[in-house]
Amino acid sequence: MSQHSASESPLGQSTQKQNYRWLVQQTAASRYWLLFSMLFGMLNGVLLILQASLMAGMIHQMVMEGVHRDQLISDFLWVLLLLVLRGVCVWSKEFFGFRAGAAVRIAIRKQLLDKLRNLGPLAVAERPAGSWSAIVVEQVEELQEFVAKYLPQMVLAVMIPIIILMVAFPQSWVVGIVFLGTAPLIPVFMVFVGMKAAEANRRNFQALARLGGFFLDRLQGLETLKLFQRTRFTSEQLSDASEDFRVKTMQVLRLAFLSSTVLEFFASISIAVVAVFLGMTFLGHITFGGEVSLYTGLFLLLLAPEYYQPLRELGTFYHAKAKAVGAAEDILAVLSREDTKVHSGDMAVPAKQPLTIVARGLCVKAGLETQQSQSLLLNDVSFNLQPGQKVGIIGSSGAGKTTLINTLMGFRNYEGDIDIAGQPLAMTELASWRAEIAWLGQLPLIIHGSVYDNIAFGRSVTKDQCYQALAKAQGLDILKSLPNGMASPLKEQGGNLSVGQAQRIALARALVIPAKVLILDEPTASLDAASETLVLDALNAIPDDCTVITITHRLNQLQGMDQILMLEKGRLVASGSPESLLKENVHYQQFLSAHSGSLDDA
Amino acid sequence: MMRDLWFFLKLYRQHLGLLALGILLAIVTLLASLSLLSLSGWFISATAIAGLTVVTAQTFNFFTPGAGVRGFSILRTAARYAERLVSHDATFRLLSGLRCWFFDKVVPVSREHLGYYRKGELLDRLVADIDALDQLYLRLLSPLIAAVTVTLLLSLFLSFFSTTVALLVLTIMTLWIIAMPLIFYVAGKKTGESMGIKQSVLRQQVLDYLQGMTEQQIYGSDDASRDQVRLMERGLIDDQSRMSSLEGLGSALFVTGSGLASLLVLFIASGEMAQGVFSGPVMVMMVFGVLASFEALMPLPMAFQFLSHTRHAAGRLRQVVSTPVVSFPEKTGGVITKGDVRFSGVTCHYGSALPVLQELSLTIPAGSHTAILGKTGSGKSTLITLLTRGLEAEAGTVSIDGININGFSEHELYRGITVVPQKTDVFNATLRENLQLAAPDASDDMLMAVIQRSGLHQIAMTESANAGLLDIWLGQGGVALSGGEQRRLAIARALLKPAPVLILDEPGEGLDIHSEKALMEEVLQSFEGSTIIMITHKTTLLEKMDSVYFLDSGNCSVMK
Repeated sequence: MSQHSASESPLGQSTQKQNYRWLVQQTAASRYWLLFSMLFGMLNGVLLILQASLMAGMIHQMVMEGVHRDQLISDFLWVLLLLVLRGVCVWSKEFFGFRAGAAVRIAIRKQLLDKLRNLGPLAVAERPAGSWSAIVVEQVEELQEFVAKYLPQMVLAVMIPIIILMVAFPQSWVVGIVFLGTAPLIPVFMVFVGMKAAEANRRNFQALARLGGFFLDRLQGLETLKLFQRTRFTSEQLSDASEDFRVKTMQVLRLAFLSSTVLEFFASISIAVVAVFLGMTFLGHITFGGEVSLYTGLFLLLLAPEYYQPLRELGTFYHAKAKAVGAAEDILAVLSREDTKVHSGDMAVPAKQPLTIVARGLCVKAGLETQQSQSLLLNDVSFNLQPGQKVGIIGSSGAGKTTLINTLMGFRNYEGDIDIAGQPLAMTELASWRAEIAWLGQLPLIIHGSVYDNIAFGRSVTKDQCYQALAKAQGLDILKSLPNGMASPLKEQGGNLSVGQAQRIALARALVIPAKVLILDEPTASLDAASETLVLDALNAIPDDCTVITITHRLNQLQGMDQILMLEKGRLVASGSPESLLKENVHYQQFLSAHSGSLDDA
Repeated sequence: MMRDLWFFLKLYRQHLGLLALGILLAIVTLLASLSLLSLSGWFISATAIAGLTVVTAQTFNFFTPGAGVRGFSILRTAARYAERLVSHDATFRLLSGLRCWFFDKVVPVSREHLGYYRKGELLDRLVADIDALDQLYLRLLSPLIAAVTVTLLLSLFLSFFSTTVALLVLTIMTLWIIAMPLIFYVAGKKTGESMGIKQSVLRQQVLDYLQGMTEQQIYGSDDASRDQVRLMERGLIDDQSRMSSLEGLGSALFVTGSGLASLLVLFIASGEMAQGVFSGPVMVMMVFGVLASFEALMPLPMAFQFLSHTRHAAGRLRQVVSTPVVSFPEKTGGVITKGDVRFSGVTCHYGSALPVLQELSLTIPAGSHTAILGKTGSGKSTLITLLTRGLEAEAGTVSIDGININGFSEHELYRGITVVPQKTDVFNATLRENLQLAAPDASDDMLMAVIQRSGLHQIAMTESANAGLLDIWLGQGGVALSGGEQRRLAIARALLKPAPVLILDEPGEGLDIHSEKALMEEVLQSFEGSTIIMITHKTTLLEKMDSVYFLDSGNCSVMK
C-alpha cells in the first residue's frame, strides 16, 4: 500500500525541489490542457467581477434611487446569464485540468513500464512485485490532483488578485491600497503557507502511516502474540503509541495551522476594514478617500473575500502537492536506474546447425547495473550440452544455478564464451534464440484471465493446441473442476487452483509451442507429492530431441539425467553422468549425503 | 445498510464531548463568517442612506455595528483555528480508539478464520478501512450537522424580518441539502464502483506483467501484455473522467446555484422592500447572508460520495468482528504440569475438502520426545493448530494431563505450551522487544545469553558494534532476517519460555545440517524434562527422539 511506502524520513529540501521540478517538466506534454484550465479559471474570475458589479448596481438603484425591480428585469437576466456562464467555466476548468492530469499519468506510467521492461526480470525480482506495482499504479495516481488542480490554481492565486486590484483601484484608491498592502504578503504567504501547510500535511500523513504500519505489523503477527500471551500488552502498546503520536503531531499541527489562520485573518479583517472605512466615509467621518457611492461600497465588499479565495483554495491542494512530490521520489528512483545491459546481436540462430549449447570459461559478475562489483556469481564454467540431452543442475542455494540458466536465456551479461549452435550468444538476436526456448519456474505464474489466456500467453495459438498442451501437461482434469472449460476465468494468482494445478497450466504454456530447449527451475519444489508425480510424468513424456535443462534439489530426479552439472560458489565442481559422478566425484557424493533424509524424495 | 455505520457510530460515544465541541466550533465559524458579510452589507447600506443628510449622519450609531464587524472577523479566524485543532485532535483519538477496539475484537477470532484475512492484501485493506471510518466524522458528520444548523438558524433570523424570505431561504437550502447529496450519491455510485474494480484489475494486470516478465520476454508476448495494461488504463481513465465531470458539475452547480439563490432572494426581497416590509439595508443583509451561507453547503456533495465508500468499509469490518471466536473458560479446569498429550479419535477438515485428519488417536506420554514425520501437506501442522486451539476438531478430543484442552483457560493453555511455529513472525521492533515477547521481565544479560545459544549474534556481523545488538531494529525498515535467522529467533523465543510442552514445527527449515543439530542440542538441553513434539518432513534429527510417528493422508503409524 502506498501509505506504507511513504518516505519515513523527511525528504531533503533539495531532493524535494528536484522532484518538484521533474514533475513540472512532465507536464510539458499536457500544457495546452493546463492552459485551457487556467484560462477558464481566469474567465470565471472576470465574470465574477462583472456579476458583482451588476448586483451592486442593482442594489444601489433599488435602495438609493428607489428604482422598482420591474425596471431592472434585464439586469436580473444578465446576472442569470453570467451565473450560467460561470458554471460552464467552472466545469471546463475541472474538465481540462482532469485531461492534463490523465495525460501526465499515461505518459509517466508508460515510462515506468518501459523502464521495468528494460531492467528485465532479474531486476524486477529484487523486490516483491507488489512494491513495483504500487509505484506503477497507486503512486502514479497520486499525481492526478497535483497536475489537475494544484498547478492551475497556482497561477490563479496570482492572476485573480491582480485582476481584482486593477478593478478596485479606480473605484477607491484607499480600498485598493488595503488590498495591495496585503498583496506583497501573498507571495510570502504562498511560501509560508506552502512550507508550513506541506509540513503539517506531511507530519499528519506520516503519523498516520506509522500508526497504520505498527497496527498492520502486530495484526500480522497476532498468532505469535496470542501464543506468548502478549495481546493485552500489545493492545496497550497500540493505545500508548496512538496517544504518543497524537500528542506529537498536535504539537506540530498547532503551529502549522497558524499559517493558514493568518491568511484567514487577512481575508476577514480586510472585509471589516473595507466595511468600516466605507461606512465612515458615507457618514462623513472620513474624507480622504474621496466620494464613494453605495454601488462602489457593495462592489468592493463583494470582491474583498474573492481577493483571497484563490490563495485559500490553493492551501487545500497542498496535500495533493505533498503527495505528488512524495510519489515523484519513488517514481524517479525507478526511472533513474540504469538499464540492464545484456549481450545481444542481430544474427539469427543458425537453423541448419544442431542446437548445441557450449560454454567456455564463462564468468558472470554480481550486480545488474554496474560492473563495479567484482564478486563472481559464475567463475570459469565450461560445459558442452548436446541436442536432446537431459541435464540436471545441482548445488546448494547461492551456488549460481539460477544465474547460469538466466545467463543462458540472455538475461545477464557474461564474460567468456557461450555458443549456441556454434554461434556466439553475444552476436545472436535474443528474440531468435528465445524462440527456441521454453521455461518453467519454481512458482507457477497464473495471470488474470481464462485458462486459454494463461496457456496462449499472448501468442497466436488455437484452442485445440491449448487442449493438446494441457493434455501433455497431465492437466485435463483441471478443466473438469472449472465451469467453462478453457474459457473459465482463473482467479487472482490462481486463487481457485491448487499450486499443483497452476504448475501444470504453466507447464502447458511451456509446451504449447514445441521448443528445442526446455529450461526448468525446480519445477516441483512447491508441489505436493501427488502433483509432483503428475508433473514429472509430463516431463518424462517430452520428446527425445528436446534438450531439457533442470535445476533440482530432489535426488530422485537425478537418476534419469544424461549429464549433471554441479555448482559450488560459482564454480563447476562436478560434471558428467550420474553414475560416473557417484563413483568418482567427492563433491557429488557429499551433496547426496547432505541432502538425503527428506521424505519428499521418498 | 446504514446499520453497519450505526454500529461504528456507537463507538464515537467515548469522545462525544470533543466531537460535539468540534461541530459547535464549525457552526460558530460558519455563522461568524455569514454574520461578518451580512453585517458589513447592512452597515455600508445603512451608512450610505444615513449619509444622505448631515443630521442622520451625525446621529448614526456606528460603534455597535463597527465593533460587530471587527468582532465577527476575529471570531471567524479564532473559531476556525480552534475548530481545526479540536477536530484533528478528535480524529486522532477516534483512530486510536477504533484501532484498539478492532485489535481487541480480532484477538479471539480463531486462527482458521483469521488465516483468510492474512492472505494477500486483505489485511492491508482492513487497515485502510479503519482509516476510512475515522474520517466519517470529519468529512460527513460534522459538515452535515453544521449545514443543517446554519440553515435553520439563518432562516430563524430572517423570519424576524420577513416570513416570506425566511421560508424561501429555508426551502432553497433544505432542498439543496437533500437533493445534491442524493443526486451525486446516485449518479456517482455506479461509476465509483466500476472505478474501484477497474483500478484493482489494473493493479492485477500490472502485477501479472511484472511477475510474468520472464515468460513475456521468452515467449515474445511483451507487446500483447502491454496492450492489455494500456486498455485497462484507458478504461479506468474513462471512468475517472466521468467522475471528474460529475465533480465539475457539482462545483458548477454550486457556483450557479448559490448565485441564483441570492439573486432570487434579491428579487423577492426587493419586492417586499418596495412595499415597506423592511428597509433597504435589511435587504442587502439578506442577500449577503444567503450568499455567505452557501459556504456551509459546499462540502455536502463530496461528503455523500464518500459515504458509499465508508459504508462498504464499515460492512467489511463488521464482518470480521462478527466471525466466530474461540472461547476459553474464565476459570481454568486444571493446570498443565506433566505434559501428557493425547489425541483420541480426532477428525477435522479445512474448509470443505477431504478430511485432513481422520479418527486420529495418538498418545504422547509426559516427558517423552516425539517426532511426527510426514510429507508436505500430510496434515502435520494441523495437529499443532488443534493443540493450540486454532482449530476445533469435528470429532474426538485433545487432552493434556487428562484434561480436555477446551477446559483450560487461555492463560493456562498458553503458559503450558511453548510453540516454535513454522513461520516466524518478526515484529517491526528492536531485537530486545522481539525477544521480550516471550519473557517480558528478562534482563539484557538473559537475552544476550539466549542470543548466544541460538546463534542469533550472527546478525550482528553486519553491524559495527556488538554492544548495541539488542537495539538492532528488525522487520520493515530494519535488518531483514534470512530464513535461517528467523528460525533462530523463533527458537530463542522458545528458550526464554520454559513450559511442560514444547512444540516444534519444522525446526530445521532454512538451516544447514550442522546448525540444525547444534540448535536442537540447545533446545533439548533446555527442555529436557518437558514433552517435546517435533513436526518435520526430514529424517535428520530423528535419532534424538524417543518415538517417531509417520503421518500419511490423515492416518498415523508408529515407526519407532
